[in-house]
Amino acid sequence: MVINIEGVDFAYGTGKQEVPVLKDIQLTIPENQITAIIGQTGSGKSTLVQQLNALLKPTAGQVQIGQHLVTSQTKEKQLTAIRAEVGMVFQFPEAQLFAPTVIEDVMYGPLNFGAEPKDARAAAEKALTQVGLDATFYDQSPFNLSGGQMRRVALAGVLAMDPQTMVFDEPAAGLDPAGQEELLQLLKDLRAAGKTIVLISHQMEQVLALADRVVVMNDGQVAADETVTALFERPQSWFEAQHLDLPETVAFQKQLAAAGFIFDHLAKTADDLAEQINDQIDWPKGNAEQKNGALTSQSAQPTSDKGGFRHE
Amino acid sequence: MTDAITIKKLTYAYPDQEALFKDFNLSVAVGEWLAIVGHNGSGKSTLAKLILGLLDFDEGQVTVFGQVLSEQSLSAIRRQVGMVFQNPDNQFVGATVADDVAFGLENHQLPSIEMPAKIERALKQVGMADFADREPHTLSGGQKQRVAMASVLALEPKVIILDEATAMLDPEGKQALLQNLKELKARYQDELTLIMITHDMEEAAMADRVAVIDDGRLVFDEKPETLFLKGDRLRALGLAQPFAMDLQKSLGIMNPSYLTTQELATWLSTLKA
Repeated sequence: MVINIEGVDFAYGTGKQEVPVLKDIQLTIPENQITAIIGQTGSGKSTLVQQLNALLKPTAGQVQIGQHLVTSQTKEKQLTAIRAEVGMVFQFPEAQLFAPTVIEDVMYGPLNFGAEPKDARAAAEKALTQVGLDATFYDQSPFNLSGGQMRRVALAGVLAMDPQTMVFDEPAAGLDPAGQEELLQLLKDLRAAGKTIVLISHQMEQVLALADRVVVMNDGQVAADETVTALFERPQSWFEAQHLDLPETVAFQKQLAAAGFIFDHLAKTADDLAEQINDQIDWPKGNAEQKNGALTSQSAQPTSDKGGFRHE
Repeated sequence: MTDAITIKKLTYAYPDQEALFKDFNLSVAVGEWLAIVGHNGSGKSTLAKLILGLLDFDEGQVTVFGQVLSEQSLSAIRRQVGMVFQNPDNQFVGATVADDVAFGLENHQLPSIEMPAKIERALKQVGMADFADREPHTLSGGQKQRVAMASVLALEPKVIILDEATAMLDPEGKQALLQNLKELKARYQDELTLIMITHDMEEAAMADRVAVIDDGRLVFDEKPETLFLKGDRLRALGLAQPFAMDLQKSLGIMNPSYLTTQELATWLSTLKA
């Protein structure tokens, strides 16, 4: 299911109070990919993704969501079908938990969309398994869980509806590094299962690790819409102008490039970057001992068998 | 010297659960910048709530600037300790941003003639002065959190506890807030004690000292420079280490002199063939 945003304007309020947020957006969300939406606070990211499941209707223009067309005139009751196809996970979704038990909370969505209780239960159990919560959690109150566990219950609530497209607004915010790692894996698994994923994130490391495409929002407009590699190959000055951070790997690579290092490709991981750096460094003999009493780590110097790049 | 906060032999259990904290001890010196790190569910946020008397502990003693935490001292202690929570939506009461900052000042019976200047200054400190008349619900998550921070700053507390306060800020907003904290710290020096609850290791690296909590136990309590050499131990605790240390590991070295990417890049440049 492709989502096409065609000439969309959106404003909060009307008349004198009108605050324009989105301006003439043209955008296609490709199927079965992870599309990251980034941009500084107030750039319109959250407003944009709410167009993807018609939570907000455009002030002008239209949004084609699979077979459904949404304009300013679309009636509210026509939107229910869209919400079943496009699931939305808001920032801090655990704030929306409400049921007395975990399993009831996760079953609520499927039941609401007309599933039989037995099927809703099966969907809820499958979704909870996907987020790493076993049967011992089913009858617990969601409010007695830790923040990270509550987040997973809330995610399961959307997974249980099995929407074809899922939109996540800062899903990893507030999770510890281990929890973030699990979440990244979950999103990759969903992509592998054929889902279309849209992800709002401020965390550029996540964007680099996950996204196939990146949409950069700036002041309600699309400033870039390209592959993740093409984006991060842009010069540092461009990111500064957009008030965006670079992933640390990318920032470090650009810093060394400015110091004369030569790289043949954008490194996505510390290991990849290290390999490209090691090719260009004359490590002093016994370097670790000489450098301020440094300790050598267990890992051996990585050796490069990659062709194509040498600085000589 | 009196500690800003002393926690002695603290024991606390959530209802019907095993004790999270058992004989827990930790002190924070006056003027210190302490980071408390730990994975989700490690107990670090619970600890903050215990210090503020938002939760009642079972045994032990919490002292704030020499004053023992009790029902009687609670309001006096809360005047000295400001807290910024993780979710700003739970912290809004005012119809406008300025009203919201005013609310805390009103609670502390500040003369209304002094309020506008204090509100403006606090909002300026978080880069939100232009938003004074906006309704809080029209702000983005990051903007809301900065207003919450302003509400605390306006009260000029002796201790500020930030509970994952930067988790929702965009990079620029986060840097602005961290920069604010640095400026405040430089300006007030020992008059301001900062406790930053976080699992962002770049943030923890700014602190004088890092306390690592795991399931209610104090696992490490040391300077960032030595803590960040323990990458494998930190990962085992569900935490990370700064990128410069990750990259060093990939490079096959481990040198505490180059904790920041800037230091590491400069050093590597001198070794370029």
